[in-house]
Amino acid sequence: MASDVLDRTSDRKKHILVLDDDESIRSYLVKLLFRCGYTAEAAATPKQAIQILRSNKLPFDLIITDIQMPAISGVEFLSTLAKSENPIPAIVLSGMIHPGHIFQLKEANVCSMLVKPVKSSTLIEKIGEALAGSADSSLVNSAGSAR
Amino acid sequence: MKLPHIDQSSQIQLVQNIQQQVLLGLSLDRVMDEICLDVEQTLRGFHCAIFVTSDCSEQLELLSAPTLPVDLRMKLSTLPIAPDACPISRAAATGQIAVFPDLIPMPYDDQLIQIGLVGVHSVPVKNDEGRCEAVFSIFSYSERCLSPSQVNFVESLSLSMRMAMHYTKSQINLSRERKAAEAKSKLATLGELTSGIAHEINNPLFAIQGASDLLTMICSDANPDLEEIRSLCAQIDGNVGRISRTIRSLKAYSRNSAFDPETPVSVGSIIDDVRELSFRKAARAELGENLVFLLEKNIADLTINCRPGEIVQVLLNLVNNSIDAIQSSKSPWIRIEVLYRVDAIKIVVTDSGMGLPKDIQERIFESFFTTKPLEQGTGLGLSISKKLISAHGGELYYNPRSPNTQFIVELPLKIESSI
Repeated sequence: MASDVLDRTSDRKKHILVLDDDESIRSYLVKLLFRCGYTAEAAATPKQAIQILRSNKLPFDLIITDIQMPAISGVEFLSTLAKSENPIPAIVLSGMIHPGHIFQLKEANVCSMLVKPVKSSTLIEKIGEALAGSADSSLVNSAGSAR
Repeated sequence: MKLPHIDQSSQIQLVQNIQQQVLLGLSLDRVMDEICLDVEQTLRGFHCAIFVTSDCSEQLELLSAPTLPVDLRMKLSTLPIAPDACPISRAAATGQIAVFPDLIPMPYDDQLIQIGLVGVHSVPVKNDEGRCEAVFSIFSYSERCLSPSQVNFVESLSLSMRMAMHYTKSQINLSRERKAAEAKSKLATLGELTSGIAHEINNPLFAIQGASDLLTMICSDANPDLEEIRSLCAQIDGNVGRISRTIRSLKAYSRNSAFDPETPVSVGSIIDDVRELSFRKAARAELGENLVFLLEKNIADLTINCRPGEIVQVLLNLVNNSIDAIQSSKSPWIRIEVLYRVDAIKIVVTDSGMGLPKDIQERIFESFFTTKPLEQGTGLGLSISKKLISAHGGELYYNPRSPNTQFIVELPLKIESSI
């Protein structure tokens, strides 16, 4: 499934975009986020992710993304995103993070880089940290949303 | 005393011998040893030695002196480049022929007499810039000196020596470059594999880890959703299968199959493997039905003798290259056709690309030549592929006449036909 919309209650929960070309990982992450009280949408390619972001139905508080993907790499995707007006913090989750990309990723608003496989508990912890660290920007997003 | 005469034919013979040794690809000192022995055979009763100037220091090093007594060889192992140290040093320092005994007495005369030498004739060998890069010396222990024709002969050798040194040195450099390239290729392949393994194994591992974590969470639910549990178990199952398939294909990829015997295998099974192995990458590139396999009638049942793993590797490499090249283009497609030829099967891999520019065509099969980004390509795929197909007696080539980018694999039919 290209995009899974989980929860859109009017009560604003933290909204997270998942980007991974692996179907089973997308499905797992969305289920996990839902269980932890977040809402999530998932994209299989950076192109889809950009479409979801542009549709702007609900502002995103965090992006969780792989970086080894065909066509546009996650690094390119995040670098482009970081240049936008309200850059969204991101967590990178990848099978391998090339040392040459670390600097570029840090520049692109990435707060955590996790190498797969990682325990759900660690991931949840990192998500919590990222959302807390981005308190300002999420406030801006919340204020911007028509609530 | 009748002085021996050397005719032109023996000179030509010697130059030809030198050329032959160079072409045989012997090492520089082996070639020089052979030259010394050849010259000694022509001159009779004299000993030859070849000294080279070392690249960094101002010294001469003894490279070859196959018949010179050991003690003398030791004494001559390194010599200064100086006009008054000995005739060898003098030839290197002045760039002129130096002889002992000379018309004018030299400071080193007594020393040479002491070690029992009665004659030395040293000829410098200069490179294109006129720098002396070697000295060719003839030693005499008897009362005999070189006859004028022998002197002419020795002096004429300078040019052949220069040629021999030039060729062997460039060969040494080539073999050094080749060794370095081989080492680099191993590292690059290792790097490529590591990155591939990381992606292909860590992703399903993470999916398994995730499913297991979710299952643990579901266990604490008031009303565990059985359907959800079943679906997570199926996901674990599928991802375990994915890892084991990756490991199986890695095993086939990493082992050296060059010495494996060829086995009879059907064309259909080779194509099936390529189809399965390229499926994931094609799906990720959203190629879908635009990756087409077209097999001529009955060819799938044809049995050919080959090392199937290698053929699959080559075809997979061609398909992967095509995917990389066209995936961001407007309407990408890839077509793999398997056709009969009189005594071969022809596998044609064509993609929607508009062909390769001429300068790239010329270099496409070189090791380390790649047009892909650094982290994506090592520039080894096509060069390895070409080698593998040649080892099968076949051919892999780029077809410049096709309007679209097209590579062709031809495999000779060493068949037992089952049709």
